[in-house]
Amino acid sequence: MAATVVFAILIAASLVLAVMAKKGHHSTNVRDFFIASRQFGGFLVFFLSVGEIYSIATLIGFSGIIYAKGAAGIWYLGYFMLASSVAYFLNPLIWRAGKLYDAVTIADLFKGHFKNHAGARVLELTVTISAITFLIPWGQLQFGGLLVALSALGWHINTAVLVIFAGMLACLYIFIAGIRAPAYVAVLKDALLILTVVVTGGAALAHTHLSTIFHTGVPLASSHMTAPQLRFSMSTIAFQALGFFMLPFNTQNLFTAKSEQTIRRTQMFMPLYMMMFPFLVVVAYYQLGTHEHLPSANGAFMAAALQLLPRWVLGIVVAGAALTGLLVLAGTSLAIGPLVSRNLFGHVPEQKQRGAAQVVIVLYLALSILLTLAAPSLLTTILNTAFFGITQFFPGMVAIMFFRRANPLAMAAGIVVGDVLSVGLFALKVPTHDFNIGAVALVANVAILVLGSLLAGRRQVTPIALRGAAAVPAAGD
Amino acid sequence: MLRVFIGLGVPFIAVVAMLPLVNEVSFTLFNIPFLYLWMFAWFILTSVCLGLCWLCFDRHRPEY
Repeated sequence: MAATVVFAILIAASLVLAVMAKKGHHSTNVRDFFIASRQFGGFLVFFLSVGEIYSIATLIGFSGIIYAKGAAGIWYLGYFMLASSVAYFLNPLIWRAGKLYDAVTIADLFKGHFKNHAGARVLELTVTISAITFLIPWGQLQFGGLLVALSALGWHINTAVLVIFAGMLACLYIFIAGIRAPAYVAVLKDALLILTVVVTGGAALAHTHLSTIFHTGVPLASSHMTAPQLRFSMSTIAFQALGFFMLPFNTQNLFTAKSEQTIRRTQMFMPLYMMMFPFLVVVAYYQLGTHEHLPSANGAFMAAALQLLPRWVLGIVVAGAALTGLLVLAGTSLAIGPLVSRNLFGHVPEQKQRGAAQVVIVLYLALSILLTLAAPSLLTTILNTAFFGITQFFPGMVAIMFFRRANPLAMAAGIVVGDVLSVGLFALKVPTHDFNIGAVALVANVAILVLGSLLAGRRQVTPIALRGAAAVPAAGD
Repeated sequence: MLRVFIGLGVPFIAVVAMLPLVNEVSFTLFNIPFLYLWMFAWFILTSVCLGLCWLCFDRHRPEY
């Protein structure tokens, strides 16, 4: 009961914050709704763009995979770290492209770059459809995590009701304040989640000495990787690091920044922001040492929290976990809305875009909910699946940044082949010698992009990296 | 080029390419396996690499 009360208070507080975020920004402009008119400084951009580090997938999924597979789960740490390296160099260019082409979505970047080019529409549609498709597992990931978190409150209600409740909360956030809600609530969410991790990890450490936790836990989970695990980890770290900022909501969040320098300043702190992960490892090993039988490895973190924390503190933990899930759902929905209204349907007038987007968002949430109920699995596996498709945008993105000869049709073909190949290999369980399936498909994607562009003729477009400050209109227009 | 090597090359070498070597190390601290220690250390070291890029190369770019 105490846990439920604290949980309800915190969720209500976050909604108030969302309403306050809306105040003073009564513009109904579509750009304000989706990308906050490019006004955000470093502080908010930081919380928005690295927010995914402390997501429900991290809290529940990462501790789950460490609990289930020991050191074979460290790819999860590696990919965030290298994502920040890639981002430091690539994201300022993505921002510049966004400014040049007045982009709201990731598909707008490609559309704008190949304006007047015959293949532009095909590429725009390919990116749009592929992005939406591979965001559905992302939604499933959030709802799956929400279920695990909410179940710790011990409500004894139907799973389906619980997920629908979560979906309604997510809708509330989005419709109240557009992207400003996730931005402001992001600060609260990160604070709560860090608190959650530290409190639970700290309680484990207070209960059992650090070296005893690992002394007991290590024999139960391997502390070295086997050769296949090593191949999977290395390929997954590299592959997902390239894909992290190809996630449509991450790209979109970048557009909220004031300047390229804001992004660079923000990005260098991203790896430092991972300092809470050791606590999650501690919690996973602590839970291993208890020898408690869990129905699913996903439950490792919550099981430890239930055991170690007083009820009211558990309420904070669940609220923190739930908010991260809700927030990512809100962010994802805000990426999907304009993808549909601007890119898929093309010529919907701006005033109608917002309404169309809202319909689609509800549909997306419903589909994710259905998948959550129909196909529950290890959260980190769902995460891998989403990246299979999302990372396929990376070669094209690099091409528009640096290469004159890049051809939009070759780019679209590369993405389609990458998507189909990775889903095919995954569904048919074709052995890839344990290399990440998406990485294998990415090689085919790159080959098609390069060969296709070389064969397609001489038409050139000036790459983004060569279009410097002079080409970018002044800020605040 | 040095900028890209420091900011991108070094972290990739440490976190991906060196993983097979790191996997062989049996050193532990408070019984924590070395793979974790290595990854945790690179939270800081990756930031250091990017910080160097900022201080040496990018800090003086025009603010746009």
